[in-house]
Amino acid sequence: MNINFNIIIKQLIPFFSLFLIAYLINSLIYIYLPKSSPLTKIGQEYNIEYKKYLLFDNLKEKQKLIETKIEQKIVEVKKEYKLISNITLKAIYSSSISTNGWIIIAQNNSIKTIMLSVGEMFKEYKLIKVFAKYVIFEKNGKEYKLSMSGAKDEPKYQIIKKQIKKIDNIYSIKREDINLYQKDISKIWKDISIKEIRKDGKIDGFKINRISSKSIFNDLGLKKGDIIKGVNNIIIESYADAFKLYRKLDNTDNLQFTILRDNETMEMEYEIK
Amino acid sequence: MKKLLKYILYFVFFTIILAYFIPKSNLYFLIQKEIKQYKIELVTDKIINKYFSLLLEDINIKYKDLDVGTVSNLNFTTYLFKTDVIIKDIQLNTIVSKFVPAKIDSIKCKYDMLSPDKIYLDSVFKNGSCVGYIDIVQRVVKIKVILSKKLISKYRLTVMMLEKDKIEGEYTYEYKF
Repeated sequence: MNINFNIIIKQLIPFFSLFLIAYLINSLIYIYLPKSSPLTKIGQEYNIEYKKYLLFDNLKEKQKLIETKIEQKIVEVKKEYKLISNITLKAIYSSSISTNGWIIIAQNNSIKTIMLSVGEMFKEYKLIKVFAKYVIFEKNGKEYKLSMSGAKDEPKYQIIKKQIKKIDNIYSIKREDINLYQKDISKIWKDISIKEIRKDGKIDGFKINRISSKSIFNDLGLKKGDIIKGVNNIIIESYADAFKLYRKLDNTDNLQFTILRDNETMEMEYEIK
Repeated sequence: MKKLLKYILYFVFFTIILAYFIPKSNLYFLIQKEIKQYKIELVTDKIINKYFSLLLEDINIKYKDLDVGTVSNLNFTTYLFKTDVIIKDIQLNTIVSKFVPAKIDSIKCKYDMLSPDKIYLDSVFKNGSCVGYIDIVQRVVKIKVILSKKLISKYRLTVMMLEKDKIEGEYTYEYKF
């Protein structure tokens, strides 16, 4: 039996070439693909980074840290602002970012109040930063500071409350009622109907479309048309935010709803007993 | 005719080899990277490379750092011109389960080169199912949801977000991204 190897090789060459081409293509794809998972693997989240202990290096690092701290202190002292005397700061609504927020001011000889948000002007003064207890204006390249009158020791949440129409009563909710709603969420939708409000594609609150007069929600002072903007000073921007709050209800003793009613922001406080 | 058969054989051989060598786990890392932009995370340590597929087991799904649910296994199979992703036994978190059924038996995603603009979806869960597609070009998700009366009354809020069809129990969900 004669085996013609030449013919077999001739037949196999195209297959071998195709095999190589396929392998090369995949190798090229592999170069451009990520080599490891972009996520932190389970169990590695709390691993402490290993670092070889080097005595002299550590001493140097400590020295560096002390030096930076001193430098930072010097910078803080150097920052000086001129004070504005003819304007009174009535209220501040600040967020964790100083370039976000708005304030209510009044001129000393006037009862009329003006609301300003960051970036807006008031008599050549431009509001540039909003902090918990003071704000910074800018005029002709110089920075001016305006503080809340008597707000030195006040906590942040009290400052926020000043500019918000506050309902005097603090409502109390029975924990049993909350537990009941947590066990069966369909009970909520029997008593209340809400729909998200979107602004530029993002959730900007939840509007109450229907509320049962016999429900607990009605007793809590909520009304049809109210827009729930936040809970416990946390702005609800997504369903995930709402879920997070819902999950924490078990461990919460106080609830504070920020709602928009007739274009006015209001705060409603509830005590869970 | 013989020549044509020969070329078809070459083509089939080439696609098989290409599908066999494709770096599947690296493709999965790429998917992880892409969906992370939308704050969705699929976390698992069990990544099994098979000849023409990639099998992932015990996946933890996270959305915005929130545990949404778990998947017992996800099978990603590619034949280059046809890619299937079969997700089995999805167990959603109790919080999410207030809005959608807690247990989803399976979700099948199919991508075919014959209709390259669409990814077809098919899902089955207790007392309901849904069929739809993701149009990559038009950037639209369109899903037809079939729900039993029990599910309609149980998930009223979710049903409110769907558009009711002419047939009782059928709804359409449309989302542009």
